[in-house]
Parts: sequence; C-alpha cells; structure tokens
Amino acid sequence: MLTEQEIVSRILNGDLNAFKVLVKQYERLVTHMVNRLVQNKEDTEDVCQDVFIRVYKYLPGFKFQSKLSTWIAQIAYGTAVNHLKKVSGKKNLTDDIADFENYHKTSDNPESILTKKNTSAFVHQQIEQLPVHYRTVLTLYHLNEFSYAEIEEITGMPEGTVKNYLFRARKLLKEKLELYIKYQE
Amino acid sequence: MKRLSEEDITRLIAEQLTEDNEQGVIVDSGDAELYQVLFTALADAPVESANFNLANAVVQQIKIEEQRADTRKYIMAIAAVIVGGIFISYISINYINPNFLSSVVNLVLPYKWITLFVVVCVALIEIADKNFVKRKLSVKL
Repeated sequence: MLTEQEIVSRILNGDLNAFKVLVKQYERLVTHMVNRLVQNKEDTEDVCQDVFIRVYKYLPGFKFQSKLSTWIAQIAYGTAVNHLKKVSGKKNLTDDIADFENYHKTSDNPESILTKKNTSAFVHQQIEQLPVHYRTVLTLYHLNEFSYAEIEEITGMPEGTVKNYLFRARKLLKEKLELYIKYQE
Repeated sequence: MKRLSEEDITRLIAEQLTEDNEQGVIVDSGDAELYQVLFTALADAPVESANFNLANAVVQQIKIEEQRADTRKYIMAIAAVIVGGIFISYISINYINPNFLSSVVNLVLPYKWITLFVVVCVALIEIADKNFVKRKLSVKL
C-alpha cells in the first residue's frame, strides 16, 4: 500500500496510474460533496471530473501543509460553489439562508411523507431542500466526518459559523423527522 | 476522517440539546431519540446514481488536454521558427556585408561535416525522445 506522499510523488513524475489510484481513493469524498451541493445530476459528473482535473493541475503546489483529503475537499467545495454561482447567477450563496424560513414553513402532506421508503431516504430528501451552506456543513461533518477546524479550512467559514449552521440544520431536520415519524405511527 | 462512535453521537446529542435549550426551544424527552435517529441517518451515504468510471474519465480528459498543450507548443515553435527566419532574412538582406558573410562561410566550410553531424544528431535525439521514450511512458499507463 502506497503512502500519500509516494502517490503524489509518482503523479508528479508523470505516472497517471498513480493518479487513478488517488481518484479512486477520494472519489467518494468528492462525489458526496458535489452531489449534495450541485444537485443537478447531469452536472455532477462534469463537476466531479473538473475537481480532479484541478487536483492534477495544482498538485505540484501541494506541500503537505494540510491533509490531502482536506485539500481535495477544499478544491471540490470551491469548484461546486463556483458552478452553483454560475448556474444561479448569484454572487453570494449565503442569500439562500435568508430563505430558509420558507423551507421551515413548507408543509409536506402526510401522503408525500409516507411515500419515502425509509428514514434515511427521507432525511436525505429533506437535506436537498436546505440552503447550500447547511448542506455543505452537514455533508462534511456527518458524511465525510471532518472536524470543525477542517471544515473551516475547507469552506473558509469561521468555526463558530460552521457550528451554528450545523445546529440550525439539524434542528430543522429534527422537526421534519418528528413529523415523518408521527405520520408513520 | 474518522467514523463517529456511539460516544461521539451521545456527545453531539447533548451539545445539540444544550444549544436548542439556549435558543429558547422547549426540549422534551423525545428530542434525544429523534436526534439519535437523525445522526444515524446523516451518517448513511445517499443512494448513488449510475456509477460511471470517474478515474478513467478524468485520466482520459487529462491526456486530451496534454495532447492539446503539446500541439499548441508545436504550433508555437513552428511560428517562432518562421518569424525568426523572416527576421534573420531581413537582417541578412539589409545589414550584413556580403564580404563578411563569405568570410564566415569560409571559416565554417572546413567543419561542414562536423556541423552537419551535430545537427543530425540533435534532430535524431529529439525524434527518438518523442517517438520512443514518451510513447513508451503512455503505453505503460
């Protein structure tokens, strides 16, 4: 099993097979992030490819000052956010958070709630309706299991903001889950 | 990255309930259970759509881009040679004294075979590098 340093050094010497190994190693991290952020399934494959092409391009500048996973997640976050800005035409994606009350007030009818196959699928469907920054911190913390400090490094959001978004997002999801369980009973 | 343990989840639930409480939310006994279910669901990976071979697609794209960069470099080199040739021709026609030129030619003439040999060697090394070394590298991939 090659270490990260060995893989990077092989890639820098022009070994594209080593790069394939790196892509396979971090594929889940990148696809989870991009799928959650971009949502349009037709665009996600292109954005994932774009992320790894950027990784390849900027790898000579990576000096192992942070973990490789954090650095790749940083590129994935930047690429996905740029894509969202281009598609939505918005310069600041925090505007979405101002509308989160609408999400909160959106009332799912009992039938639509019950059609969700299981709790996990229901929660994932509800996450997709959250503002982009909430989706980002939830994915990075719970799915990719980065620490608060790592999320700060990846997204550039202060640690306090990361925690605040996490608490608020979980609270919203808990309320939706409460309704879901109530209708199931 | 590390998996969240039961202990981590218990700690997170406690933190979340404290935060909810501080924000004036009435916390009841069922909330801890709901958060437990939520944290478990959050740790589950969403169902992925049709899995395409990302690694191959990326490497293919990189190869295409590198080929494009090589072609660009080649075109730039040819353009530089043409521009250089025109510039040298212009200088030769306008500024070089024919007597001086013939003296330079006379100086080089005795070494013409050595000069020719060096030029041919450099050209062969370049061709071999492009056709054997670089091709061998790409075949290995």
